[in-house]
Amino acid sequence: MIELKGITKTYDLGHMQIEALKNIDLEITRGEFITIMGPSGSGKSTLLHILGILDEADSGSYLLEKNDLTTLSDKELSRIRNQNFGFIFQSFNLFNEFNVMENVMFPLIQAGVPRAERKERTMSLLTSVGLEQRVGHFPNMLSGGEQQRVAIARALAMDPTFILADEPTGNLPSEQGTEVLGILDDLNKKGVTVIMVTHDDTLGERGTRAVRMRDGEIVKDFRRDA
Amino acid sequence: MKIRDRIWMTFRHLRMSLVGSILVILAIAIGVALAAATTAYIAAYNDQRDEILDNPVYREIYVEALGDPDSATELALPVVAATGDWKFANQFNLADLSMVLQSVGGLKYAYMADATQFFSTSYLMQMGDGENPKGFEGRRPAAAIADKEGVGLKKAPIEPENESGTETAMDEPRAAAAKEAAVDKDADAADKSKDYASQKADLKDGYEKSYTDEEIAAMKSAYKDTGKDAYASKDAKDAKDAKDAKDAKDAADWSTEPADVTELPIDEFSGIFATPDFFLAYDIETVQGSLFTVEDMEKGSQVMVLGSDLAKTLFPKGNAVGSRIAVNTQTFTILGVLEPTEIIDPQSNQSLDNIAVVPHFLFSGVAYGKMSRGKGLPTLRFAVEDSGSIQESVSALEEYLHQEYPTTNLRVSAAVDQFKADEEKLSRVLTALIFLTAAGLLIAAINMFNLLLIRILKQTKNIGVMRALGHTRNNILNHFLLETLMMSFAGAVIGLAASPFLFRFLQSALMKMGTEVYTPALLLGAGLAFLFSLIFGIYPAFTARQIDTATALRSE
Repeated sequence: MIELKGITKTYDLGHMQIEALKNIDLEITRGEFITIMGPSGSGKSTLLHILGILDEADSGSYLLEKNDLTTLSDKELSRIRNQNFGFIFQSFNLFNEFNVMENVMFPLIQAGVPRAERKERTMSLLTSVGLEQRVGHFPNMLSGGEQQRVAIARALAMDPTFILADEPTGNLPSEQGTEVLGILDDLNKKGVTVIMVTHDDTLGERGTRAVRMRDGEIVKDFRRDA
Repeated sequence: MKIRDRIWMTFRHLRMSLVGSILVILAIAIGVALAAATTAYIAAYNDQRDEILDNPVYREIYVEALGDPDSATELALPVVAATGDWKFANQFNLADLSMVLQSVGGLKYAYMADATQFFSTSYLMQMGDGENPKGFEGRRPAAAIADKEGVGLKKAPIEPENESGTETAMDEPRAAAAKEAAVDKDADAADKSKDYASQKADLKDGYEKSYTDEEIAAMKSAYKDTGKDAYASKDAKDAKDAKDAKDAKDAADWSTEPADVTELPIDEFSGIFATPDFFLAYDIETVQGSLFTVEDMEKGSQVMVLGSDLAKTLFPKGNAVGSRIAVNTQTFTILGVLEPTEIIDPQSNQSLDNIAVVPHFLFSGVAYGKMSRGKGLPTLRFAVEDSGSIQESVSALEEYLHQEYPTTNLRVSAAVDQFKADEEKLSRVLTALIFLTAAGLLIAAINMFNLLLIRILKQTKNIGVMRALGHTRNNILNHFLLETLMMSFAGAVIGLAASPFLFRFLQSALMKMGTEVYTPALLLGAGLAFLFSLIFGIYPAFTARQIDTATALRSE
């Protein structure tokens, strides 16, 4: 469970200050599939970064499972990212120097998982996204959809509580995008909390909850019955 | 993250920008090799400088006559005018040399030593009459000179001693050589401790006049007859046609070859004309046979001492001592073989191992090639006891010679001056080398600095992703530090492997030190260069560490 209270974030661009987030309060409970929508510049990506501890709020509190994260060290926060969050990006962000298997293994290597175990885990993940035939390939040899499936496998490597997806279908043709969204739906059904940021309102139809943002504020928070 | 995994990942990153990485590694390798070789060379130099200065070569003072060798007026005492007019011959002799030794402080040995070249007589004959191979100029029918020198030296009052016993007491080669010598009659040794001043005065008187071969022959027979003083009878004799006699003698010298000479496997070799103190000054002894002595010179014995390598070349069977060889139209008996030595003769720039030493031409009458240094003038050489005070000895010697021989234009120099001059040059070269090394290293380090910065800039997004996947800031720092470390290390290993070759190149290009490579100094130089390049990798790595994750993820 995540509890954000009074989160503000201001970017100082020198000649002007941009209030990306204004006094955000948000509670996310386990098992939700939240779509955060809004036009670009509405602060949805900043909110996702703060949720994923990739960015720090200027003020406000962040409680993860009742633990206050604001007092933790970089090392502890990094460990939480590694173990509790799985990230999926618009442009996949795979490492080009590593093959498919190595990309998926990356979080496991970071966590110090033994070699045999991480290989087994990686294989099962790649099988679950239908890429077991592509383990030795490098990212530039794959289609966008395949790359994003590798990214999803990587996000799931540490069996995280939360999947944070930033425009996961933004760079994909609609067919492959639908495929990716289907995977996210399945994950949510298995109990993974999915938080997806998108500017595409039609995607807001998915999931259990839709949050609409404008100018750094949450203007609508709609829960849908599953 | 496990270190093994970290290294594996870093390897992958390096492979991504392979060309850049290789160039940086090579640049570092060059810097490291330069630093290691330079450090090793400086260490070797510091280590061996005293040892080098301890070389007998650097205890020597040279006295050379300047000016035109054909101008007899300029070439008064102390140096003999070797112009073909031998009236000055022996005006300056061992006695004078001895006088200098006693008069100037700090000198330990006095001798003459001049480089020359020996040609096998059979080779000379092949070259044909009248032709002088390779600049060889036999200046004098050798036997004639030998006669003269021999008699000249005998002019000093000599007390007969061991008159009958000397010859039989001599070892075999020496006895053979003595028989060969033009003057074989008198085996009396000149007493070194004699009053050289009076000897010198006598010599000056006796040699105001030059003698023909005829006269000398007459002197010889007169000397033989009386066994005492040659000069009384000499004056009574009338000279016949000297030229005829000379030509006849020349012809004989060039065409006859004694049957028992050993044929030489090589046509020519380097040699030194020396007086016996040369051996003392250079502290060399024989491993076989013996050195020639003042007595040998006074008798005009045609004897030769061979350097160890030359002996092996000329006599592969090892039977050098006692053998006879024909060079420069004369026959020499090998008296001894020198022990192996590391000394390089500064005149011929040849190892003494490869050189033949014969009694100085002033005394032996050995034909003397004009190709030698000094244009036919003997070089007086002195060795000082202590190389540290050589400058005082040089000054004292200059002063003494100027007083004693005011009309002679002389140059007094110490070999160590050349060393000091070389050393000064060397220090300039070393300074330049150090700058070059530093510049090379700096260029390498700046290259690495740039490469890393560019790489980090290119990987900003990746750094964000790595953070998202759980990398701590210090993981990022370590990642790029490891890249630096690996490139520097690879460069250091390659540079260190190449440094001995560079070191040897410096050895051959600069002042020669021992060829031993100083491993600790090599490692020190390489280590310093390695650290230097590492330092330049720290800043980029910290830059990477400080990158803001959210900003990095937004970057393209």
